[in-house]
Amino acid sequence: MTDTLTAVREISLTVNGREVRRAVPARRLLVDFLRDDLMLTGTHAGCEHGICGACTILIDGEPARSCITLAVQADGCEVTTVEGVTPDDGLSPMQRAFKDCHGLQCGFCTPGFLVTLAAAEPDDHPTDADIRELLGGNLCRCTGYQHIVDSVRQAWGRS
Amino acid sequence: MQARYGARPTLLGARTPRVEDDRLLAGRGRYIADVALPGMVEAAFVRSDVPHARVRGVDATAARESPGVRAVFAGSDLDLRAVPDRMPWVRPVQHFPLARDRVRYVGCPLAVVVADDRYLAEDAAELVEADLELLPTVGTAEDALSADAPLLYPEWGDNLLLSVEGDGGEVEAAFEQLRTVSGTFTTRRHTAAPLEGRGVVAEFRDDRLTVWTSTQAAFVVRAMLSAVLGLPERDIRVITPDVGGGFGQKNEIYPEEYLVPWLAMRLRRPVRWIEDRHEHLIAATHARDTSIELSAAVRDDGTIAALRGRVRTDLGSGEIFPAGYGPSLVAVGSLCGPYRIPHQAISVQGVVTNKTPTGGYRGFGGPEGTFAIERLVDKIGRELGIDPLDLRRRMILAPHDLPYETAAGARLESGTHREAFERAVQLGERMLTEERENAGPGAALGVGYATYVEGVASTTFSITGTWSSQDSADVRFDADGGVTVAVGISAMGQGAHTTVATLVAEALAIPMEQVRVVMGDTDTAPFGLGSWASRSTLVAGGAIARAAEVLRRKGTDIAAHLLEASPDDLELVEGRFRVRGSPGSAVSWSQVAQSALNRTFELPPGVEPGLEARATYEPPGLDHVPRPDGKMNAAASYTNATHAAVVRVDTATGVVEVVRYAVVHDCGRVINPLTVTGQIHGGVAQGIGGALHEQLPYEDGQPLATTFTEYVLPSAREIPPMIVEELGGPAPETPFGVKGAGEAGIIGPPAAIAGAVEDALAPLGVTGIDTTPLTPSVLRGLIEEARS
Amino acid sequence: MKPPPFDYVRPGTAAEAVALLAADEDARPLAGGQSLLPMMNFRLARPSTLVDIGRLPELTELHRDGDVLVIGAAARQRAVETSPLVAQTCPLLPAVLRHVGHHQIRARGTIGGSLAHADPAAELCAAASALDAEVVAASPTAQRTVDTAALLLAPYQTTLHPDEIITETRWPILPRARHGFAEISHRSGDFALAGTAAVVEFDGAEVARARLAGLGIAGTVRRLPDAEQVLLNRALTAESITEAAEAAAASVDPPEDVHADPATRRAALRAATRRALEQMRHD
Repeated sequence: MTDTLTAVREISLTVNGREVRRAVPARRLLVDFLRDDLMLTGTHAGCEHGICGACTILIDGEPARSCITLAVQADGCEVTTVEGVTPDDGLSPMQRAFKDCHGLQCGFCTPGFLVTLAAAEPDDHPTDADIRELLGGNLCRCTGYQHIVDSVRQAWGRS
Repeated sequence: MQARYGARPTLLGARTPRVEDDRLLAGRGRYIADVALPGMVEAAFVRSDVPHARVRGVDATAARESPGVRAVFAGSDLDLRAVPDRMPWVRPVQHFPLARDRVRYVGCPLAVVVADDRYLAEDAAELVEADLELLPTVGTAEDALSADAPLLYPEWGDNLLLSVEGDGGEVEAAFEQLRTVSGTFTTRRHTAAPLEGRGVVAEFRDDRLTVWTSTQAAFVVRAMLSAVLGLPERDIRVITPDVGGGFGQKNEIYPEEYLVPWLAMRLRRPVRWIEDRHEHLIAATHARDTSIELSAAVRDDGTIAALRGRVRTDLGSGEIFPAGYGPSLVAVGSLCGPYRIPHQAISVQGVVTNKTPTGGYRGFGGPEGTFAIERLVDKIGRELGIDPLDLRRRMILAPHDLPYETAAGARLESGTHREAFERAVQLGERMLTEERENAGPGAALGVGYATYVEGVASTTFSITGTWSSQDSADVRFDADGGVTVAVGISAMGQGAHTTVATLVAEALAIPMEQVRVVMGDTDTAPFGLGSWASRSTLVAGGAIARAAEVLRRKGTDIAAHLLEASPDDLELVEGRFRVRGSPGSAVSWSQVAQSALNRTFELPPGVEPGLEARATYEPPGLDHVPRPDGKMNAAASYTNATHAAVVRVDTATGVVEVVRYAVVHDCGRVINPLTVTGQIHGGVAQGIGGALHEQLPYEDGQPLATTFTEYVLPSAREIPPMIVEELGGPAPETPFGVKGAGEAGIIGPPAAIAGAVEDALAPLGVTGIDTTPLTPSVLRGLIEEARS
Repeated sequence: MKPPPFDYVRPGTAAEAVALLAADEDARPLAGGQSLLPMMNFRLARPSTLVDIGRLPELTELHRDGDVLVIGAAARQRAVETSPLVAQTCPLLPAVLRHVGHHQIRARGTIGGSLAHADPAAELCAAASALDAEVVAASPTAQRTVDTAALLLAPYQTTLHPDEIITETRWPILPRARHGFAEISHRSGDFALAGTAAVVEFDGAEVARARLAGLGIAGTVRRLPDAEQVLLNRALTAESITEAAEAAAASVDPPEDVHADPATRRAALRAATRRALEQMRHD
């Protein structure tokens, strides 16, 4: 990195439970920091202006867009990515449901959906319409969403 | 006599979870932006911000001095050949990866900056100064055809890239004798917009070029790169990483795909370019933008004796390969639908304007043509006072009509045209009734239908001038009995790996887990044309069936020798060749493979070592060019479907909501109901987007939708629950009895939704919806017009 | 789409923040960044320095001060949306916040940031306008209180000075008022074609005071005085609602853009006004 045009700041944060300490250019987007600096390439940049949701991560437990968040803004925060919601030995129940119900096709948007869902409380989203509302900030171009809704229902134990 | 498929449960038709999914779900997919090489530098493009100009010069002095910059190149700096013109039957479009003397659309690449990272490359790109002499803008296809229109290619003398006259004496005779009903039906410009944009990474090493690119057609990219870069094909390796959605848009070969490899060769460093969303919306191909003037010669009972008309497509600048008129030709073929319409004569105009080039997008002319004919049939019904559903019943193909050649020349061998239609109508009426009960009085609800025939596994000769329709498979046993299959089709999210694994496992009677699937790498896959035109299952299936046949025959011979039995007495059951009637006497594929690969002294006399087979499949009976009568059977097979949409219209604001949707579909034998249904869901969602939300308007040559704030993709809240029913059994004319399912979902929504909206607004007197998308502004205008 | 270079500082106090802003006229405050960072990614905004006020403890407070609900400028929208205190004292706010972007956006976006961004279609600006909320703006030398109408100047422009930041927002607590909010979108979650926030106080059955704010229909969010006038001194009936919705629509002259023509925005405002007022009839 020879980005000398911009100030560099030291940040320390927790990413998927591990302490990380890095010097980053002030302008570095959090999504690029995660992908290029930490090699956590499960987080995807789909629009880089906060619309599509492919870059969704958790910051202190809340879903947020890493493409319109600076890495320096995450200083001192706890960040969770799709790698962080994936068990070491296989798939989470939600991931398994996506597989069983064909809730993904190209898979590019999928990490964003999984992260959004990882922070959701099933009881707050009792109906299919509520699930669709919850997922309104994550765009998918492949599935037409129905199998994603089916996946969520299965993972949440709804028939 | 061959060993037969054994009496075991078939894998075909099972809801098998996909083999792709585990790593994608865990965030371990490897998309183009995840490809990183040591020493890699990044590219950013300088693009034209004016629609039409002569390029007087490009000054990169300041940009070259910007921090971290490795190089800056403009069009005049390139020692590249022009993108080859392979279609002598249309006007020549000579273009280069960077504009040399003229820019013809906002977004056209003018220069490229390579820097240590993308941030620095973008900093420098801002410093590049292009000296452009503005030329008058051609804003629309209509403007382009006016007598005094400025010309994009002055040497042509007009703005027509392609002009084909439809003719037919029978058509004229029908129009002379019968009543005419006409309309003009317009599908505006929108685009595929996969969630992952385009991207290219290239490395030149040991005198060999390796290119990772987010494409649907690795071998075609390789051939085009060879032509433009002047390298032999054998010295180019094209690798397709995980592709985050293609939808036909990534079946085009783009300027950046030539230029990034050239940069890697020139700079002797790996170079990466990742398209951002703003670039995507102005520089990746747009689609549709087609207006169809259609007239029907109508008999007294409303049925159509002949169609006459013209398909006119705004191709934008036309600077893309394959050219954007392919969908116009497919639209011509789709106009007669599944109806007994004896004759048609349709002309085609491909018009160039100062907009982003148009190219392929899922559906590929099918949505445009279906919109036109279905709207016209409704109009005939209205004008003659015939229920439009009854009118369709009078024309739609029944089983006894098959095989049937349509007015466009498509040979329909099989299908469930009438059955699918009747079932969809049943579902549609039921859904409407249910919604009416839920909605209460006053709600403007309506139902609409779209029925169509879709050609799958087409020839690509008419739009590439080079390639036709074959594909191949290479099936190889290891000594442990496992199989690696490499195929020429490509994966972009549709589940191609799972489908191929299923077919190979089925054909060799082995578990899917023993099959590894390879595709999308020109070094390891056999030659193939990639994935488009809903072709993958059909053409890969054909090649796999043939290769498997060779292997089964050889396996049978070896097994018979090992068992000291006659090959005629063997059957292949659950991975074992066994003597019929004597199940204890059997050898497994792995024993056969051991003999073929290791213990070759066990082989029967005359049998060569090795256990692998490569086969190609060329669908029989296709026309690669039009026949003398102008008709063409351009596809290997034809699927059919009827869609039903139920909508609610807010008459106060013009906002339309699709509340229910059903598709009754026939794609022959269903290999995997999960993935076929998923394909249809996704296509319907994109179709709803194009019918209601998505558009790429221009004003004076400037694109107005250049971010996802203006280009509105539907979210989960805009897409309704869907019913998908599959009717087909194995098709007699194809390998495994399969047709194709990739595009079925997207063809119906514009026609079905327009019909539903018209139905919902019938009490207000709104008729003649002839243009999509149906935005609130458009609909409110129609409602107001009807009221006044 | 990467932001141009800039410097970044995270001061420890609001006073430090405004001093930094005063020292560099091209510096900009950064709160949640949910509007500013997209503009920087497009290189449409090019601040020299971002002064991050998003985590200043003094700006994230939320408390009741007599008959005013005080919300720190840097309070996250999601936190306000889910706050029991807010639900109890200013129920219009959560009703409106549900429509702001997506929950991922609201997790980062702030109350003060949305007001200072002054988007003509911002739901939060409509709520502030309908409630006659005020903001407290601080500079190195002064602190002043600005009401919403005086704050919003033009599309994406406020009357804040470059060295001023919003430190707190003040929302009147109107225990007897009823509220309504509705917006008409082409796609839910987007900026609406038009929307209406309404706050109505009753004297018995009759409307004593009505404040309606429209969004998406002009260069800024603005009040709809003609519609307010129609409602006064009469019961809120189907008839008065229809008249008010008509008056609202007739009183605006929306701009044309890629999303809708002016007549459609006017129609959307009519529908939104009607729906917002209908919500109160069923309270």
